[in-house]
Amino acid sequence: MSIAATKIVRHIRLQIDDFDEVKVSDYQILIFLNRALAAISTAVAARGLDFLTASQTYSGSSASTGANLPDDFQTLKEVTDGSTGYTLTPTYITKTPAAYEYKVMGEKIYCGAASYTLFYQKFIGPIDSLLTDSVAVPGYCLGLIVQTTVALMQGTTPDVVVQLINNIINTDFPGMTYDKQRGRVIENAG
Amino acid sequence: MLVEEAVNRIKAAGRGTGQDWGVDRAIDFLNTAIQQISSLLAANRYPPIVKTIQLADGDSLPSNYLFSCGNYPIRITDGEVDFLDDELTEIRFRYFAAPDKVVKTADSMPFSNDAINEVVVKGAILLALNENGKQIAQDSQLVAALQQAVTMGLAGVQTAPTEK
Repeated sequence: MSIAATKIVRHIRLQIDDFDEVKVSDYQILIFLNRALAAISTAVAARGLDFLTASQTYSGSSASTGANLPDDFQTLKEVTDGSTGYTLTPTYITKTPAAYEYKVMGEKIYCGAASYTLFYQKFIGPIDSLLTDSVAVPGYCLGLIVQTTVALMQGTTPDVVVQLINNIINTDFPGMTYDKQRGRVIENAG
Repeated sequence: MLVEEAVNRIKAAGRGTGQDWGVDRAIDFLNTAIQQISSLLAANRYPPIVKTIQLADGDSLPSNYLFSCGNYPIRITDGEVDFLDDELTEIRFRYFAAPDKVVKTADSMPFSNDAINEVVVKGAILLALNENGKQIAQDSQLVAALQQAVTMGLAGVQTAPTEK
């Protein structure tokens, strides 16, 4: 489940009518593609869509020392106990978490449980190479990535870009998502 | 097209006005016209005059450099390149290159497209006649129209024929 960067670049160059590579350089596309991925990550995470959800398992209590969050951490979804699977409770930032509690401070998570799993919305990108890298998103995101990158390259203002991303998500993305609370597939709230 | 043909045509244009330029002089006019047309082609982003090189930090720009295709993370000072991104060791650099100058009559004209070579010859004739203060207003209009036709055609832009 990923889209090769070479394919994205091909679509972008088609969109801006520049297969000859005379108008913009690959470096420009790389910069704007990464900015587009950042904007898309934020928008998709705000919608709570499933394909950005990732997990990391920690062993050993980190109540006082804290454990590093994953590099691609964006927003927190849930923290569960490693042995029972129960959802742990967020606690005050000033308190040292008890065995059933956790808190996130700076780039670390502090949790009193002996082992626990962090579920989070990950950040897509950035990519380093247009030739070898790929973007870990489902294929139906291609149009969104291409349109957003081109809009940023053409100097579209941020508020318009956000509007564009939301419009494309509404039209291009499958409308169903798995709801953890209800334990079944539901229609996206939008 | 060979340079010889172009030189002969420039000389022939002078003969009607009682002028006769030497071959070297004609080649000078030709080179000036080539420079002018290349700038025009580069401004219209004509892909066939693009060249690609691998550029390293501290390299000098190629002598035929006109301008780059898009932006690269480099700073150019006095013909020398500074990389702005320390993580890069080499950049695949694409730029619009001026064609080589023609030197002798046995050379080929620099463009593979003869329509462009025609415009170059016309431009050179104009420069030559201008040198001697001839009335060239009509000719220059003709060349401007030719240049426009070439660049429009190259850029793939459709132009409606103008009615007189």
